[in-house]
Amino acid sequence: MKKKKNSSFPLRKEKDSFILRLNKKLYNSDFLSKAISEDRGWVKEIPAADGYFSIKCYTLKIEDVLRWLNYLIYLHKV
Amino acid sequence: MKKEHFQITKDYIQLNVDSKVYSKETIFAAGYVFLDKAYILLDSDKGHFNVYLYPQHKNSDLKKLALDFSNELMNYSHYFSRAKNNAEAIKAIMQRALFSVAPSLVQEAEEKEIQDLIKELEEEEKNEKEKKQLVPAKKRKR
Repeated sequence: MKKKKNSSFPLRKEKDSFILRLNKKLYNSDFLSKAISEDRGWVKEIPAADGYFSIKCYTLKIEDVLRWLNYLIYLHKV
Repeated sequence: MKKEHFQITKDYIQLNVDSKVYSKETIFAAGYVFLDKAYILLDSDKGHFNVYLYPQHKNSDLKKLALDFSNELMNYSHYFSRAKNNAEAIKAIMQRALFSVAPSLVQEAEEKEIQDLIKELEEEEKNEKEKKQLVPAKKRKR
């Protein structure tokens, strides 16, 4: 049986990158801009649907993306 | 249809958290505690938050991770509600502590309070006098 693709999942793998879909109600745009500016080399914001930030991470390792997400949590709490 | 609280997959566990029960701040606070245990991805959907926990260490028990996270949510939720309820008491204690360090501040605050009270009384007296003066004038007209 073919596995159903979960289109609403906020983390998607592409050929040479990962795409993150972050909810604007949860993630603060200032913290997000700060994190993006610090990792300009491999993290970029791309146009997204209303209510979401779309972030493209140019890496093949999911751990890099997940570590970057934890940095966002850190910024929100501090 | 009732949603399950946990959904386990090969890579992560998903927690469905009711947004009426726990606030966004509580989720971030609990997430902060888990920064060295799990990778955290958050999303929101129709009245609930989706928390995706990816374990940082191999062979981690995903269900235990989710249950620990739930406990942390409870802990911070209680902390925030207690802080809100006790805000006035905390403020009074802090003021008292600051005043005890600098007693001259107490004197200043008391003097200011007395001045305010005197001003208030004077204004009341003035208003009453004005009222009394108005009443006979009306009577004279009749």
